Amino acid sequence: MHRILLIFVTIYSCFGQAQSLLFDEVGTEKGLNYIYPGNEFQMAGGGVMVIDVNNDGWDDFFQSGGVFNSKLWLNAKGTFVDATDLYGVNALNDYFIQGAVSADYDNDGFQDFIVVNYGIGMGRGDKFEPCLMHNINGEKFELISLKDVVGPGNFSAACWGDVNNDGFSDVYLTNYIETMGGISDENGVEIGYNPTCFKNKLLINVNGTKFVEKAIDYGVNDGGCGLAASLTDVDLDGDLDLLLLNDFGEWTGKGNKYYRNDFPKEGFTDISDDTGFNQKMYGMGIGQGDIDSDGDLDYYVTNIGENYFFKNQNGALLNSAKEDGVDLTYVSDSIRGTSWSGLFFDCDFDGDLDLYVSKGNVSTLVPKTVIKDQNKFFVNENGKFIDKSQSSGVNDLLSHRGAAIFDFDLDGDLDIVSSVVKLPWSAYRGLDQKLKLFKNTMPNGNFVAVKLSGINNVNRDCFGCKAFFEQNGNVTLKEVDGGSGQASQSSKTLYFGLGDKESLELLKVVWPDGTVKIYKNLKSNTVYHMNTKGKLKIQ
Amino acid sequence: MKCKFTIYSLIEILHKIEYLLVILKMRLIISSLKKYSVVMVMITSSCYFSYSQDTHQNVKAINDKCLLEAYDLTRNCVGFSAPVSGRAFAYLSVIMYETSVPFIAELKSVTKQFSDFNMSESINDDLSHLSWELVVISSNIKALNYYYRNMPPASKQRLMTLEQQLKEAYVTGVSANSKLKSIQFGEAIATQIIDWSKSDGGDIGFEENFPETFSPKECISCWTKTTPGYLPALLPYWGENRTILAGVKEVSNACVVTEFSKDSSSLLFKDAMSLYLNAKDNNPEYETIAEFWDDSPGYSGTPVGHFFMLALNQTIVEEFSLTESLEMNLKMGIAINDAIISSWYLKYKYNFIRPITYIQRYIDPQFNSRIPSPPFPEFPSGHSFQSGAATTILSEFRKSGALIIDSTNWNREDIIGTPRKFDSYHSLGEEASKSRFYGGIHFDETLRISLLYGRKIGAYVNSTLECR
Repeated sequence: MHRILLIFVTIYSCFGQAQSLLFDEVGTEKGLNYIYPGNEFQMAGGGVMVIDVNNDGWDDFFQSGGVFNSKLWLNAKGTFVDATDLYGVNALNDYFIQGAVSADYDNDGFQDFIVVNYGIGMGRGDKFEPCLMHNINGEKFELISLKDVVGPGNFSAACWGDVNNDGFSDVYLTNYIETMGGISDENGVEIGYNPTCFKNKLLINVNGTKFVEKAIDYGVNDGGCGLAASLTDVDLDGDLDLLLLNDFGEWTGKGNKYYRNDFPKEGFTDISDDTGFNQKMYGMGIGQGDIDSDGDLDYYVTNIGENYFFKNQNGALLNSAKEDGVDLTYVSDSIRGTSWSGLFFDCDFDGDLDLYVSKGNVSTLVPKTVIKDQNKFFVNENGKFIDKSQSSGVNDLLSHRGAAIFDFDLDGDLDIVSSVVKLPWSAYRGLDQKLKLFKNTMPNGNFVAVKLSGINNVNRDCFGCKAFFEQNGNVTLKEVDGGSGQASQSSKTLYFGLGDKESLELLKVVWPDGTVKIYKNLKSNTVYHMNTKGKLKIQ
Repeated sequence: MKCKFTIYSLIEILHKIEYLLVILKMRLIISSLKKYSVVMVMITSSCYFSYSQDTHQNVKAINDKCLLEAYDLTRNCVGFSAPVSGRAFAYLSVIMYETSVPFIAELKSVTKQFSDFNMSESINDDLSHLSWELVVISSNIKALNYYYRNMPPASKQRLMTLEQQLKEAYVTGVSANSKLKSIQFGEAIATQIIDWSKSDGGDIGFEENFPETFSPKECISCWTKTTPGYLPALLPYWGENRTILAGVKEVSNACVVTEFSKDSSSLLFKDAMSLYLNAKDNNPEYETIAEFWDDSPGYSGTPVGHFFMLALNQTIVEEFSLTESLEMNLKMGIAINDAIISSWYLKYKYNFIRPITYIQRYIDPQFNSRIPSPPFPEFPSGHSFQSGAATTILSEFRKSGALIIDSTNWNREDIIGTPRKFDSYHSLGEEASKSRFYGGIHFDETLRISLLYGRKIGAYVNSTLECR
């Protein structure tokens, strides 16, 4: 009898108090019912862009479909409606869209977006050019082809930022493979890649009226098969620098790039070697966050194999991924995994940043990679990343790509939208190969959220604005996301976790023109809309 | 009876118009028109019940609708590569044929001629109280539900709607008992063929396109994974599948690969150079033809779906009877399926290098083909095997010398899908085959040999399979 009781107690202790997951997948429940309508293998595609298309305060998002048609999902108070046709986004049908990023390029108060378009060599017609989708009064989009500005290419990602501080957002486009050769040994065994790459493009915004391509003039016409980029003020000198990730670096000899913006001079200087950012790798995606609350931004860079976690120390970028246990080099034995979007955000609003890494197989010649490559989730506990993937609810087997962070249901915590490409592997048999919406179910602390924007039709996006959140003696920097992860973009609203505190001690906002605004004792669980003239409490 | 004749002619005309208008994106107009025609059928059909010419036309219309549905399902179901699609279309055409055989005196069951299969005698029941239309609907729907059983929810709903609409259109005047027996009869025939098909080696092909257990051999002339997807080998065991008609594999016994050589005077090198120079030629016609016949999974229902659409068009343009249509589809389905199995057997027997790999090694390291190289060995061309087989059957059944207009890709916006015109299926097959050279994915000599053996298989099926 005692033995039976002991067994029962043991079983109960194992299963009776089942731990709830950190996130619930609610995509279908929330209206995201788009199953890619075909059986085509998807090598790429899947950037996710968060955008509030109609300024109703509910973040919508755009789902890049790759070989399939893309979707615009309108947020109807926490439930999503397919607004692709309604908003004229179906004009993008039959383009091979890798990703998209949004900005108010003409400062008219409505978010536009640019799509990066792949397709050369895919046998899919001739719609290769990037397209600007101009938002007309929050009611619909018109397609503006950028064919005459940049010409055709295999564009893979983009990021917005005001590189010349003129108040109009510019955009940098990474351009991918032009031709892909293989390298074989004398026995005909393929041992590597021999790609050539298109050159990246920088589109300078001329007063919101047109774009002029100036990558060569600015010294950023890199040709290293770029796959991700971020415009961010790494060295805190008041202008946006460029961090560029190149794929196949091991084979092209072209590593990742850190281009320092030399504003007011029109140009960038390559300081990759000096800063330690020049890794020759399969650069996939980049995420940013002030992980150590020291007032500057740190960066998480994904790879096939070892990911890099660059901590910013006075502009030098020092990799601490292995020390912090977030390198994710191997999935099983010596077989590599493939990471795409590594994003920092405060999942429980305890004041520090946690880490989501979307993962997913892509078929390769070399190196060998696993098919069952689950997403990872790390919770920051006292400065240490604790692997909570197994209990996270985000670690499905599917092949994820782009991802973004937003509070889709405005319930005061941050959720994840993570795209999935469709692959024919038998390991995915019976699984629902479609985009995932991971709703945050954790007990959360308090927060303060900030929306920044310029006034008088200047710098509405506020790319390059810096928000310093001061609490408990720490200073945490946040920037508006102009493009991150893998061809994706998270919400432009800046969230800061307060834990059990009822207010934020101090917020300092530094505007690109040098204007500094300081706010004290901001009440918790409130979203503030701020511009250079002051603050406006909106929720 | 005159009234009835007029009404059914209207339906028939609407069906014909629909096929033509599908490519013009005007299905909505037709479906609204057909609502009225269905109502008219319900009013009048109760006064007539026999296997008349009208019933023949009804059955053909049902089959045609189901073939269109199969085309759509092929595009939308995961794992429906060309071999998997060929198998689905083949068994569907067998089921369509065998389901109608009991009702058509001039046709006989062909199952005794199949490898290891014989239809049970028990299905040859008294047919007098059965609705032929309901028999066909139930067998076709059962077949579609089985062969495309991984269909997404939207397709499932669409298929259910089709089944409901078809049954509603033909159920009036049929007693409950007759309805039940008709459905049971149709499903019984489909079940027997489905059960037999399960043992051919391809039953779960859609789930096993890329078996993780397979490791391709590595050598200087061997196929290797290619850009852009670097996919592993597709269906490496498909060549071991049972053909529907015995003896087909032996038809291509003498199909032998070109000798591998990197010597610039060799046939292979010259072929590779010819392909390379063509790829450098900016003549847009090459790209147009390459993309028109590319038929990648998910876009046009694979090459198999493409040929079934051509066949469907032929039955409409040349006003095929039900009997002619059944016989042609049966033979074409079997010829395509068995040609693909035969070609897949040879592909993995010879495991030959793709042009992109050869050219990158010996001519231009940065060469890329116009269309992506498929993830399986080069020799022989499966596309040409099945094109040769299909066009041979289509030619045999062709009634007139009217221009052949291929409108399959008319509504595609990602390529130039302008209808292409041919004076014969022979020339159509030549272009379909040559398109793989323009696409940069097959050597010319491979295509010449493959089309030849594809035609031999078509001729073998046509002459061996006795339907009457």
